[in-house]
Amino acid sequence: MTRVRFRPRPSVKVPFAIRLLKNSPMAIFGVVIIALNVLLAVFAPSLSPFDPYGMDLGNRLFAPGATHLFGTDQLGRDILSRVIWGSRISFEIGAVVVILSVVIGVSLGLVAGYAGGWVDETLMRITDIFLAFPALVLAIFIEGAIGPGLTNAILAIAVVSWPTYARLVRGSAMSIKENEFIEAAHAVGEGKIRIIFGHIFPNLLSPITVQSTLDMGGAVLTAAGLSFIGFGVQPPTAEWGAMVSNGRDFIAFAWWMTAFPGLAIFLFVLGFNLLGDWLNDYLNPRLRGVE
Amino acid sequence: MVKAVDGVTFSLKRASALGIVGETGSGKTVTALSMIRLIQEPGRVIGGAVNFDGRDLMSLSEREMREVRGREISMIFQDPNTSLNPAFRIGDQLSELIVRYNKEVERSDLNFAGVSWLEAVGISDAKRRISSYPHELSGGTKQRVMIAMALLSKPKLLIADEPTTALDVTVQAQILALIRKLKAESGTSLLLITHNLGVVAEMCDEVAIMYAGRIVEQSSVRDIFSHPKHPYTKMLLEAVPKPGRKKLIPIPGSVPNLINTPPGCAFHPRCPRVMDICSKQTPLLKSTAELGTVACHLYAEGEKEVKV
Repeated sequence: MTRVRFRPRPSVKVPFAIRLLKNSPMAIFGVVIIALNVLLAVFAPSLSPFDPYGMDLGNRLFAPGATHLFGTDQLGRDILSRVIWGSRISFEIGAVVVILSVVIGVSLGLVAGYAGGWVDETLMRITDIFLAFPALVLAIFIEGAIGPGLTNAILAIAVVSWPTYARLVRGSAMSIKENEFIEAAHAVGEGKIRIIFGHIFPNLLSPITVQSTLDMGGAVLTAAGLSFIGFGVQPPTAEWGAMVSNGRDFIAFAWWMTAFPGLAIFLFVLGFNLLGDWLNDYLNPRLRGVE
Repeated sequence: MVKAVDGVTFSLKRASALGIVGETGSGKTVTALSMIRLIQEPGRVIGGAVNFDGRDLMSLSEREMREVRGREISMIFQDPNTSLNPAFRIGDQLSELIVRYNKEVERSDLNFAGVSWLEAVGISDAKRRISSYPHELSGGTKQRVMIAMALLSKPKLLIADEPTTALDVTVQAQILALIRKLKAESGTSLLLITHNLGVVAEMCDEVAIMYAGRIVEQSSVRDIFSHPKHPYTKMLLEAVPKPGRKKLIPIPGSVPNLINTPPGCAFHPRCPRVMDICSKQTPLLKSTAELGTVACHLYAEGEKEVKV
């Protein structure tokens, strides 16, 4: 018989979760917001009434009205279109930051928790160093060194975010590795990598999922902050934080330039926070498992 | 250096069952783990041999040992909650082992094989339950799954370390009956570690009583109950609550700290028949036809004996 490549599926019961989700109005609200954002991002070309970068100097600083539902900015660009297209950038930021920081943070945390000893000490002290700085400050430092721009902003935020996952995962990994099923895997000769990623890691999906959901919002917030002070995204990119920054000088008489992108940031982050909170309540007490 | 196990010798015949009885800290689990070389740093085995089916397990390489574990010698533990990976369904965990140890099973038949095993260990509604996660199962059911996982490789020896201690008494009886039945069907030998003499009475042919890392008495199960020799054994039997008796009779004192074992016989501070020599010389385990196998100065030749 040929060797069977067998991959067990880790524990997530989706249909049950969806039924439970219906009981929480806050969570439903969060999911709705996220869904709306996804629609905006996916269908931006069709939904957006104007070109987000199309300047119309004859129509500058229009208040919200029939043609321009969210008004225009100082260069005549339609705010609604820019907000819609901005959702793409927000998802890009959130997704890439989360993926990078999870890959780095979880790997390091798992290795530290499993190996223990000086490996653990070294990795955790490095983690502590990163955690000692406020996120925004550290991101500014990094971007100061590597230069502004969307890509660099994403990298900087990822660098600031991975330590949370390392910490999160390390403690759990340390306690999980004491269990007999891990000892059993050892006893029959399974390799360390296989044990860490095949046996310990699947038990950590819950806290990682919760944290990454919350981080989607967090990353966007940090990016908005960076753009607001001129780091991060550069003009004319239609990122919400940059738009808020842009509208700063005009806030007295063209409130719509800051209000709508600000509202977009608020809703995006709120949506992911609500979902993340619900996931936390759902995943943690139920799947007590080994912890 | 703390000797968790100090000079333990026993043998186990094919298809028979040996019980190792002792209180917490007596060294029974360490004995079992040493046999399959699962003692972790900083502990280590400093001497001795384990003759298994013609080979000395102590002389095998780690790689060879890995083939032995799980395949020829299986072990089940006390807490089924930490023996199963909570992140995977039990069907998947069973299949992982079937693939490893029952290579003749085709991939398409894995589920069927898994269900068959669950039924063999007495799990009802196996077709549905095979997709369950460990946390959805009761302790008794989990332990049945562990038994299935231990036996599907058709091992020559099953080591069971307090398999029913964490279970309700009624479930305990069922699990023990299951082990007994499967053992009889497959001819597997059983090394059963427990602190419960009642369990030993049901399950084992021979029993060894351990105290502070040494065997103090060893005999057939019948003789242990009808003619216990070592004072510790006698007091263990007395300590079992009996209907009609008003008071509990505990053994005075407590198990010694292995860092600071009492000199001579480790049991002497608690022994009602203690003699002078007991605090000076450690009694050796001696086997005689009339007196059985005991490590006690009361039975040693050439010393002042007291009528037992």
